[in-house]
Amino acid sequence: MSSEEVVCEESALRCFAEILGLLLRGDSAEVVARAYGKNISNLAEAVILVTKLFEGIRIVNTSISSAIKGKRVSVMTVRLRREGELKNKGRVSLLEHLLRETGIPADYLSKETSSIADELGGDPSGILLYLLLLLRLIEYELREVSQRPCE
Amino acid sequence: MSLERLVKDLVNRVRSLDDKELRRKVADMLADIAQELAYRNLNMSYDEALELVSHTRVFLKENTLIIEVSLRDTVLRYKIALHKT
Repeated sequence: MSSEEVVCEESALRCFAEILGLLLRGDSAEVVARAYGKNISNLAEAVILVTKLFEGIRIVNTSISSAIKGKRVSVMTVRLRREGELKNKGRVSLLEHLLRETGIPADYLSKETSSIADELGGDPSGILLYLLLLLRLIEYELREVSQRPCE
Repeated sequence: MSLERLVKDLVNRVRSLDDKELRRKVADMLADIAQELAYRNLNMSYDEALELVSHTRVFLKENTLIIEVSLRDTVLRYKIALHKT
């Protein structure tokens, strides 16, 4: 089975969208997600998010090792597999995750999330998920075109 | 905080697209799509979001990026001109 690789950097949300975007592209796709050093927690958060939100995604294996990239750094690798149709299994607020990543302190997160939801008249987390995946589709298209041989 | 502000924070946060001008155009388009979706159903579920992805086409025609989102009652169509190289 072919697998695609994702390297997670400083945004757990981006990592989450990359993993989910790739898993959505194939019927039984496998993704190998990797992160180095301080970005390991972002990979862990993305994997928790993707598996908490959807059934049909299984963690095949996880490993932590160390590598030399200029200096010695820890490396976390998670292999995920899509098995069947993806279905939502839990409500985790992507709005809250976005606010956390933009720097809202943990103590105020829940209050800020509810205040924005009240202001907007609902929780836009589903819309945010769609937009994250649409961004990935745009990036795939631009990348594929740039890699196509010139005619 | 407005939905537009949230969408722009999202695009900046996930650091998509290296080209700043393209990122700005895409962020504007996403903010517009978000408004359209919110007008129909602000509380879109995650399953509905995945379903909508399967009704979305993104393709390049000549030097223009075209995004088509098929909603139940209408098709949203956006064109973004790319830099000529």
